[in-house]
Parts: sequence; C-alpha cells; structure tokens
Amino acid sequence: MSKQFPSKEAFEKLLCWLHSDRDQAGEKYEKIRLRLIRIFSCRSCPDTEDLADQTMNVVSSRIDWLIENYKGDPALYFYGVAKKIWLEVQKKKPPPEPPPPPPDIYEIEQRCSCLEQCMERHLSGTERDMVLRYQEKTKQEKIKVRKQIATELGISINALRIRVCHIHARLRPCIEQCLQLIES
Amino acid sequence: MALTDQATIRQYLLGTLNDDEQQQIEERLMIEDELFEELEISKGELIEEYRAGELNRTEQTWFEEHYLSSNEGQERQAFVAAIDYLAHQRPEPVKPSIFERLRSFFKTQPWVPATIAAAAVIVIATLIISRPPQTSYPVTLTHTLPTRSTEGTNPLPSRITLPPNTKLRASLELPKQFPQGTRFTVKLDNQSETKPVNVIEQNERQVTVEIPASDLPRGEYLLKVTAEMADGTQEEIPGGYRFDIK
Repeated sequence: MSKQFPSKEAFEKLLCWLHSDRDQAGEKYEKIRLRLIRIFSCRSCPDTEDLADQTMNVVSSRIDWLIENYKGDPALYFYGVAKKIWLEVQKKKPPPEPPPPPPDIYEIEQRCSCLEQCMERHLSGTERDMVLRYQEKTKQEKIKVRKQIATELGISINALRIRVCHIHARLRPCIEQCLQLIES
Repeated sequence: MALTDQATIRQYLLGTLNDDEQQQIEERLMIEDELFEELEISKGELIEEYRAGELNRTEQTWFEEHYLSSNEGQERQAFVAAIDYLAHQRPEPVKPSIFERLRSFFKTQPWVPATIAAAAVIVIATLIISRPPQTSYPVTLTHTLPTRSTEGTNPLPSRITLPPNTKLRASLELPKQFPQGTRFTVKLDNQSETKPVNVIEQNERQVTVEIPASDLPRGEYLLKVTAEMADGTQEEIPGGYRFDIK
C-alpha cells in the first residue's frame, strides 16, 4: 500500500474533487480522515492515523481516474479503499495482544490536574458544573442525575449527551497537550 | 437520532453486527454527521459501562480487544477515568439537618423564635395552673385470709371511690410482727394480671403502698405481700388486702 505522499498537484486535484471551495475542501478532507481513524480504531487497528494517511494517499494516487469516472460521495470511495487496506493489514496482523492495563492512579492524577486546568481555561462555570455532575453517581442514580440536569437545562437527555460529548471533545486535545508539556 | 441507530452503533462497538451490517453502518458513518456523533457519544458511554463492570463477559472482552486496544480507546478510557475521579472527588452537597434548616429559617425570620418562646411559656404556665395536683387518697386496708377460709371472720372489702388524677395511698396492716430488717414487696392482683406496686414506707407492722388512680379502674383488687427476711428467706403472707374501686 502507498506510504508515499501524493504530489502537490495530485493533492490539489484531490481537494478540488472534494469541494470547489478550497477551505471547505480542506475541512472535508480532515473530516474524512478523522472518520477513517475512528473506524480503524473500532476495528482494533493499532496505527489508525497511519492507516488513514495510507488511504488518503491511495485515493490521491488515483485522482485523475476518479475525476473522470467516479460518481457518488467521495467519502464512500475513501471508505472502500480503507476497507481493502484493513483487509491487507489483517493478513499480516500478529495475534492480538493482551488488552492494555487500565490507567494507573498516577496517570489519572496527572490527567486530572490537566483536566482541571483545561476546564478552567476552556469552560464556563456552568459547563464545568454540568460536566462533573454528568459524571457523578453510578447506575440508576447516574441516570436520575442526568435526567435532572436535562430538566434544569430544558433540553432532552439526547441533547444533553451531545452537549457533553462536544465539551469532552473540546477538552481532550487540551489535556493531551498539557500531558505532553508535563512529559517534556 | 433514532433509537434503532443508537442500538446499532452500540452493537457495532460491541462486535455483534455481521459483515454486511458492519459495512452498512461504516458507510453511513462516513457520510452522516449525526450518526458519527452518536458513535462518539456511545464510545464514551460504553467506557463508563465497562469501567462500572456493567458489560457482560463477551461484550467486555470484545470491547477490550477492539476499541480499547486502540490508541484512541486508551486515551478515551484515561479521559473518562480522570473525569470520573474528579467528579467523585467533589464534595457532595450536604443535606442540612433539621436543626440547621430550623436555624436558617429562624435567621431569616427573627420574630419566630421570640413568638415560639412566648407561646411555650404560656402553654407551660397554663398546664401548671390547670393541672390538678396528684393528691394521695389514704386508706388503711385490713388483712384478709384466703377466700377458701371457712372461718367466716373476713371483713368486707373496703369500697373506695378514687377521684381521677389521684393516688391510692394504702397502708397495709400486717397480720403479724416481722423481725427488724424485713423488706416487703407488694403485688396488685386485678383478677386478670398481677403487677408490683410502689412501696413507700415499711416497718415491722405496716407496709404503705401508692398506686396511681390510672392503674385502678372500677373493679375488685387484691394486694398480696411477700416478706423477705434479713437472712434472705422469703415468706408470702397468705391471703391479702381486698378492696373495690367504685
């Protein structure tokens, strides 16, 4: 499979193929790449980003043919290629490794410290309170608390799930950055 | 997001879809933003369930060997652990006790304690004034032999009218003189049960007991006396002290 970067020309053509507006094309490119990474993760691939990049490169290498012949959502073509790459990886894949141990208390405490900093920096007081309350309790009690938060905010429980998911997505890159700073 | 899609995403993450279904959902994930969002949410929720031990054995193994073994899965799991840790470290809002709630109520309503105190003083005073003193109603009871006795010398039982809120103070003349140091216990027999009564005075010739009127509704009674000598020997005085309450 192609680990070579596409030529600048091929990459430009790929962006054009994705969208006539360059900014929107860039966004679409990133969106497709992210989704491929997520799918590779669900298929227990260790080097998800590498596999996603290989997929992007393979598609780029076929861009002239695609512009001429392919009809449909480009994202689906990327997926088709990704699946073939995954199948090839499966052939060479060593037997599954034992699952990694859960994070130890030291790691959790480090993350907690970063999490607190990131929450302070990126979230409003209400958001901080909501995120922590959302995680409180266990089992039935947790469901009750979440329903209560949703009622207080006047939104559905699904809207609350989405809201919290978005907040988590804002926090995670900040935490990773913070951890890298600690390690360096 | 349709509930069926939520369920399908969950099945996808737990490896219970067949190849075709898996391909279908993955194709949709590539182009449907809402479904992709659901995937992101469900991953977080499954990590919570995994950490709480709420997945069954097969689900747990699949989840560990697939999503959680990826870099992203490990990072997400550590994130959930951290946020869990922080959320459970937060002090829970303490429910105020009844006293704290009362104190806070009184703080906001300063006239209330004074009013309550004044009302309490009035109520207590009224009770003291209106409550009749629990006076003792003295009687002297004569000893009677057991009813089997054929001697026919037993006097008629005393007939007593006992006003409410009083006590019957009954002096029991002993049928014989007991040695010094003898202690007496007295029991009241109301024909259905026997219970001890309060001995307030005692000497070798006489024992005095007090019985609240509330323990003496209309009826026939018998007081039975037991003597306990200084050497520990006990002697139940035969017969007793009969009286009727009118």
